[in-house]
Amino acid sequence: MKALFSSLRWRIFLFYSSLLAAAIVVLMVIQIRGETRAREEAVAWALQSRALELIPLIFPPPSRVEDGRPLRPRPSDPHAIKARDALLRFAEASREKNWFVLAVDSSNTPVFDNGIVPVDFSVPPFRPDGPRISTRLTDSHLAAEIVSPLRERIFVGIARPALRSESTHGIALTILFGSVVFVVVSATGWWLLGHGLRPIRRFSETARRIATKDIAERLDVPSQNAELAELAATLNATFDQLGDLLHSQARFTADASHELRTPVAAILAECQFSLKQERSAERYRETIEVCHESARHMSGLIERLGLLARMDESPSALNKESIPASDLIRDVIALVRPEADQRKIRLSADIPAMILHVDRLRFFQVLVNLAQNAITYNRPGGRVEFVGGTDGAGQWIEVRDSGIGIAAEHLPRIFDRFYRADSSRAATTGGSGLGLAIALAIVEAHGGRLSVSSIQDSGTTFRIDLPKSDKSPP
Amino acid sequence: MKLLIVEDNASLRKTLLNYFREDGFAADSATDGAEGFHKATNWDYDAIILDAMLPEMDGFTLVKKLRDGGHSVPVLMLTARTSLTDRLNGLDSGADDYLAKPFEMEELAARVRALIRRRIGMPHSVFTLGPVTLDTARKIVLLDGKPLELTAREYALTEILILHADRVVTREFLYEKLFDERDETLSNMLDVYIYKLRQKFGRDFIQTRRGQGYQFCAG
Repeated sequence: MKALFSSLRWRIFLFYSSLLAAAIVVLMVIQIRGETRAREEAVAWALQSRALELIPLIFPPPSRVEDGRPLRPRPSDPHAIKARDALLRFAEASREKNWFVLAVDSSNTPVFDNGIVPVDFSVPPFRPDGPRISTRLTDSHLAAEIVSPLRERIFVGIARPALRSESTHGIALTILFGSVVFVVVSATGWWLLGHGLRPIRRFSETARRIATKDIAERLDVPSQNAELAELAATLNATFDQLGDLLHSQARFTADASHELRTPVAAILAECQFSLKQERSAERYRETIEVCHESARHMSGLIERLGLLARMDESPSALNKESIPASDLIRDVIALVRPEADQRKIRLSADIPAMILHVDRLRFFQVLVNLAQNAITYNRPGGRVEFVGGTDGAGQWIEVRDSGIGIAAEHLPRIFDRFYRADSSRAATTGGSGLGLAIALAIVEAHGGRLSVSSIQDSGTTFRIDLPKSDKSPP
Repeated sequence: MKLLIVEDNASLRKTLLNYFREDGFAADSATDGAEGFHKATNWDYDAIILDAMLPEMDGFTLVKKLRDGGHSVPVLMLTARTSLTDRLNGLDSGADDYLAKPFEMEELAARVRALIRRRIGMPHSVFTLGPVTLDTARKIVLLDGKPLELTAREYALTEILILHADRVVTREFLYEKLFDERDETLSNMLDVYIYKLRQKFGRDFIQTRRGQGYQFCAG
């Protein structure tokens, strides 16, 4: 039951079918009321007609009037006998219709009735200025009244219960019609709802397949349904993003396992070689060195992978503080100077007074990485410059070298994890192919951008853009 | 038998060289794809052990270029990538065999021997020629059922001579197959080995064709 009411189709259906039912009931009440009134009018008219028919039969026009009393044909008069027969026929026909007939003379003494006059029917007082013919509806009956010129009166009426039963047929018809309309409209609505919501069921089936089988499948965008089309487009875009993410995660895992497999292969091969036969102590030492070197390589790799994973997971875990940019660059230069001196590379800095809001340790790591690259891929006697400044968007720092440059085909990919533009060099410099990926992750965790431009054989510039932070002075 | 080992990881490259040289192979090495391709096309190797992921030119491209150039040298690819597409890619680009890192050295050596055997049309690892039996798996030579005491390089020379017993083997061919980059090519080294083998087998087994080379005659 709970599931039933949590169904959108059911809720919409219940809502509008109750509305529909209420509307139909109101319409039916109005209809029945109108019907009843029309019925009453029709009956009133019929009663009056009957009264008009009866008046010449009960109170024929007198031949003359003596002492105010009308002189009417004797009952033995052939005319009177004919009238009597007609009166009895009419009285009988009225009884069959449950109409009562009562005739009173001018002194209100009953002179004729057809035997079914209700006991609670009281003859209303004569109103001299009243109309000659009229109808009156009281709580118990509807009665037509006709007055003769001699103030004799005939009442033809019907009791309320009988009157009501006259209109039951119409009411039943109305209710039947209302019910048919309700059922037809409801059923059509139920079908339309199901039809309209069918894409949603298809979405859920497709989504299930995407989750379990085919990540490349996408939802059909229904062309007939604007709301659902928008939903499908949004969901498809989300699936695309998730797919990209999954794909890059899978590539990353494959790359990481690839990078770990080679050193493991080296250890395994070297141990198997060494254990094949008795060796000299020196030979064993070589084996241990190979194992040591490979293990250190793997250990460094694992550490860098861990750092990347942490950056991916929670970029908010940065420990930001306010540091003068010049202090940071000074420390970087101090750290890489021995390396630069060895390769006869001049280091210089042109940094204005500006305060960076960064995680000191991580940001230092980025700058050292860029500086080391600039030195490693430089030519002897070259230059590495650190330049900084502020612009409309925020702060920037560039590390420029006068080195060998990076070929255009490598530029778009140098931030990819494990991508090496020149692996033979990386092998001699001990690079893991992760340095720039880590630098990018750290800069992006700061909300910044790391970009590169390079001219082959002339030099490379790495640029860090940091956005204006709330704490930055304007 | 001479191998080329193309591998960019220095430790692994050195270990592979040591292992195969100790097994009696002559072995050269290359650290990247371009160097590997250069060596593979300029020297006659019996087999190449090729890493898939290499700087300059990856292993798949290298083997494809070799095959396009008409080189039929057996190639065994070593790869750290284990997905089916990578394996298929390796075999489809022309490699003869495929081994995922990390691997067992004994398996690698056995596969290399099998590749070489297949190339020279020798279905079995044991080869008999008169009273001489050559067991390429165990790297021993039996004369009248008795094993001969041979050094790795003496065995290697014997193997070449016996497997080519149907023809004269030139000195240049022997140099090519026996010595590699670590050796200083002294012209009399080959004479020394031939002399030692004649001592162990008996004079008549290895005949000198003057001006042409040597031929193994099992009687």
